[in-house]
Amino acid sequence: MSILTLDYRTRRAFEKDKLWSAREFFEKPGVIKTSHHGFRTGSRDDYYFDFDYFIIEPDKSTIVLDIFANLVNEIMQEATIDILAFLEKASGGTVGAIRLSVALSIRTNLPHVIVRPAKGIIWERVKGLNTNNADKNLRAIIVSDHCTSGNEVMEAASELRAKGVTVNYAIAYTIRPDKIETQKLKDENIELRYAFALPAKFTGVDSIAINY
Amino acid sequence: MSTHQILSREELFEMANRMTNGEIESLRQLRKKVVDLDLTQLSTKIEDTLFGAIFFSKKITGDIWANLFTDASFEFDEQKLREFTISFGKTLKDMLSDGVENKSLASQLGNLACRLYKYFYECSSNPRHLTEGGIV
Repeated sequence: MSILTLDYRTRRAFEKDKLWSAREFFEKPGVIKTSHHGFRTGSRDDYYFDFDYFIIEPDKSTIVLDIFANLVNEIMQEATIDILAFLEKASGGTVGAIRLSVALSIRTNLPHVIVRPAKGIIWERVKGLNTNNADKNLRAIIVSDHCTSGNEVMEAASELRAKGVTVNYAIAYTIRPDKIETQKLKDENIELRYAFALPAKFTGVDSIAINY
Repeated sequence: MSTHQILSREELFEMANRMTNGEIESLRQLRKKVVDLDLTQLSTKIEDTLFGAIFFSKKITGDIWANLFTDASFEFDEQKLREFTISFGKTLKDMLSDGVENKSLASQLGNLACRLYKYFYECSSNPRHLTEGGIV
């Protein structure tokens, strides 16, 4: 039985419960790192969130996957979506939400593509879109593990739009509300939905806001 | 296309200058400026030497961040990074300076990198060998 077949209030209760459970995962050693670590953009902060440590264990991954799927499903209640677009990080490799790409694709029954902004040849920056997709006016959701400023999401949207894909939504597991470029995202016509808001100063899981 | 502005020679030179004083903050600032620059698009817009310096900056800072900052799980020796920053700053200044001894090598490297990315740009604008389904 799909969770979408449940009535709205029951479904929300399930999701709320999952979010509260998942918030405890931030206490896992390695998830929040301190000291010299910094963001890919060169900015320095007191702490750094490492999504990869979240999804090492199957039981935790299942809940994280459910939360991502719920973010997708909520959008699909409001708009038609054809594909999920996962972002390959500038550092390359299988890090971040891209590790959940196949699982989330199966869970949401949506095909997915990979956006690779670091590729030198421009048409290789979206993997999975064929030349014959150009006139199909596909609608995508960008999926990311974490958004600090949102620049990576905007880059990905730009690459997808250059391929004729419509992008109006992005989802992230965590964001930094104090650093996110809200106006820029709005100007780019991207609505960012997320599960958790990380604080400017991390003082334990209680300082993480659940976006419910 | 990058959402970032193109980095000017003067701006890059000024950052390199501060790096020669051992300011790791300037190294961070350099990383911030180059991280999202689109080298393929940039190759057609700026001259070879500046392109070479930006290309070098993006690759080197990429390696620094991938190994010492993002994802790192150990305390590294900041003094070593400072010494590296000074050398890196000097190299960038040399690459960007007119009339210094290694100008010719800097030009050659810049030209080489720029030619490669111009070719990427050319391939990007004319993917003629692509067939339906993306199969070559």
